[in-house]
Amino acid sequence: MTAIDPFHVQLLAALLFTLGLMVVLARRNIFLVLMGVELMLNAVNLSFVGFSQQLPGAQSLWGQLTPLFTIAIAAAEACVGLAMVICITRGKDTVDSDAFADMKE
Amino acid sequence: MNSYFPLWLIAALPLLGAILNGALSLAGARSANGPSKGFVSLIAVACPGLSFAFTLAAASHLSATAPMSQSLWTWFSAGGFHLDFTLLFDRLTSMMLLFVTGIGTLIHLYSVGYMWNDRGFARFMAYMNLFMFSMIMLVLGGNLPVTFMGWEGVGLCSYLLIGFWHHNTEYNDAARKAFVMNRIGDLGFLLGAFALVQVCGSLDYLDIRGWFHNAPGGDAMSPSTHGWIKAAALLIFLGCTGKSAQIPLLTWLPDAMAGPTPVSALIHAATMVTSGVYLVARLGDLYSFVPEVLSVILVIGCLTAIFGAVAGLFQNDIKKALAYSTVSQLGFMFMACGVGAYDVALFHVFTHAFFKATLFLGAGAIIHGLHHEQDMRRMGGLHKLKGMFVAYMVLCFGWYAILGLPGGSGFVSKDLILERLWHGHAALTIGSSHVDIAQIVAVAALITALITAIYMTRVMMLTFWSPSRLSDEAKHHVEGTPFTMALPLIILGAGSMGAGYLWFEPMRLDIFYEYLKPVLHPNEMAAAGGLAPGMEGATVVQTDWLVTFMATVGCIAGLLIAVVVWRKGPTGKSAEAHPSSDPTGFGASWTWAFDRIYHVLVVLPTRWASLILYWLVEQALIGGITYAIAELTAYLGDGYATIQRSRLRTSLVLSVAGAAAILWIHPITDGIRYASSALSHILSLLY
Repeated sequence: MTAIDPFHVQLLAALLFTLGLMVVLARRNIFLVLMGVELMLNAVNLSFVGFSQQLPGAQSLWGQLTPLFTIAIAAAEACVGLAMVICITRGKDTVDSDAFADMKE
Repeated sequence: MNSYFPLWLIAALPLLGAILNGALSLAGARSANGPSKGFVSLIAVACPGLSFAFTLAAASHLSATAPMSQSLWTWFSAGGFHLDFTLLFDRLTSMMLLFVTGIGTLIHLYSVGYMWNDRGFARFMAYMNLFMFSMIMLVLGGNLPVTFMGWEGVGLCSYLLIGFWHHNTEYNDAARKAFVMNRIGDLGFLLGAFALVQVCGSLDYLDIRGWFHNAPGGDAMSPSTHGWIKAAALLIFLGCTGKSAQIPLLTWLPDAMAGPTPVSALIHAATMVTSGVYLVARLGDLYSFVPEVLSVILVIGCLTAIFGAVAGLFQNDIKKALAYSTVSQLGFMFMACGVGAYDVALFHVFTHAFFKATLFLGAGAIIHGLHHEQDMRRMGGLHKLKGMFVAYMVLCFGWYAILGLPGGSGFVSKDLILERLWHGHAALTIGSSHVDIAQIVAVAALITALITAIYMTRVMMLTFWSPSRLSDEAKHHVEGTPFTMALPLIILGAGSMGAGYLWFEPMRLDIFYEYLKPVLHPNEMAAAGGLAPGMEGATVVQTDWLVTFMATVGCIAGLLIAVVVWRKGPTGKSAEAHPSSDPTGFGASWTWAFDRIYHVLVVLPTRWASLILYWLVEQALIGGITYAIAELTAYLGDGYATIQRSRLRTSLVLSVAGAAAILWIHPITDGIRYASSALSHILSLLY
């Protein structure tokens, strides 16, 4: 088994992050926006793991633990986020984010 | 004998009463009837009464030569200047305090009856007690700032009490007028005090006295020091003209009659308005040093006395007639000060307090009985009505005393003033010639006394000794004088007859003179020496029977004139044809002339200046800048808000772009730096 080039890992992470960001910015469906956010989080996790591979022993451990932490937070965040989506959808009967541009003067 | 006596107790008691009654008034503000009137009046009368008792006790501790001076705490200390919160109790203070607290207590008792049915009873009593506290501080103060504190306090209470019935806009205007006129005088007082610090380096009365006693006389003093002293004397006298309603600051006192009658008696007749005379006597060392200023005081007092007496002739409102009489009598007191006869001036303050309080309270009893009728044209024959007997009797006493008929207290004190004027000296320098105007002023004072007799008899004629002009209905609704009002009236009525016997030369009675001699006599000697060099110590003590005779003849002549003119009631327009109680003479209020002058000289320029300031500074300058800033912010905000108002995704894109820009700032600046260094490198290669 050949070791993966760390640069490639980071490149993949950056690509995934950009994809997620583009989904967040371009899509109007709130569910897809949330999915984009998840993608961005996981890209960062991948980046952490990629770097931790480069480091020795104890320091490497921190790089592996942080993604676990992030995954737990992300689960909680998805919970709250989806609940909020349900709430606001009940009010307007739509999942189009542009329909919620209510913040006027 | 000169053991320690806590002087602060005298002042603290009325303050306690004011705080208690003020708290009760506030606590009962929402209830239907207000706090218990019995309790309020107990506090209100007991506090000044106890002050009177303490003053008596302190006076019995007092020795003739050593005044009690007590420093309570250090007020402030800066550089070489040090000021304590000092109380000074000498014979002058004790005399003033005895009649201030004594007459004050009686008038508080009278107020209980007079104000009983008023909703603001507790508030009124709180103000009255606060006034007593301020007046006691004014008299008891051992240096000018403490006196000034009391001076401001009595001005404040005067304002509060003139405008006591604050639902009436005219009354509020009168209150404001009194306050503003007094402020002008107060400014003079302050500036005078500053000038005095320049000279003496201290504001303590005892230090000032010491400084003037050791002052280099005549040419040894530098002209600038002499100028400072003269300025101090004149400026402090300006303060006195404000408080004591002398020309030029007299216009507030007639309007001040808007307040309840006990207020007019206590503040605007007996005590507060005499504080100007007290201050001149207290600073006698200063005034005796500058005879020119004494002459100014003499002339001002004389003019005010004549003006007040003449104006009194034309009043229809019984209280305004008495107010002008007060102005005139205060003029008499300042005339006495003007020839350096401080003790005589204070004796007139003392007797005047009795008979003018009597007159005002008697008038108050009439006003109370007739349900707030003050127009004398609607009175007449009142002594025949049931319930008016006490008012009639005491007004007779007061009238007898102020006229100066033999036996009353006014006879004694006014005669003493006339004698001192006649035998006194007052140097007035016109150009290069010196004129002694004391005799001229004495004649003017004599004529004023005659006019006094006319207008006071007119008041009595219109009120009592003329055919009744009351409606039958009004006659049946006359209210009697309650006991709480009758008792002070009788005591004060007796006082206005008997007070003169404290200094009655023909009977070898000179308790008053001897009592004040240690404090005032040196200054009077100095004043006599300054006014007429070589005459030191030549103050008259013997009775001059010629002056007495002339004064008595003048009084009786005035009395007879008034009886003949007004025997059938008021002359001029009747109350029905001329419903306003404004004076009928010359068709206008008698301070009209002064009010007009102030309107042109002060009010109009102030208005113009404020208009100019309003348009140039307020609107153009300040307004322009602030509006510009506000408009700019509004435009920027509007512009930015359009971003927020648009779609959510646009905002997100912008915020991501912003984050990216922040991340890229470092590489970009580095790039610029690199590019510029490369450029300079290329340029250096080229040249």
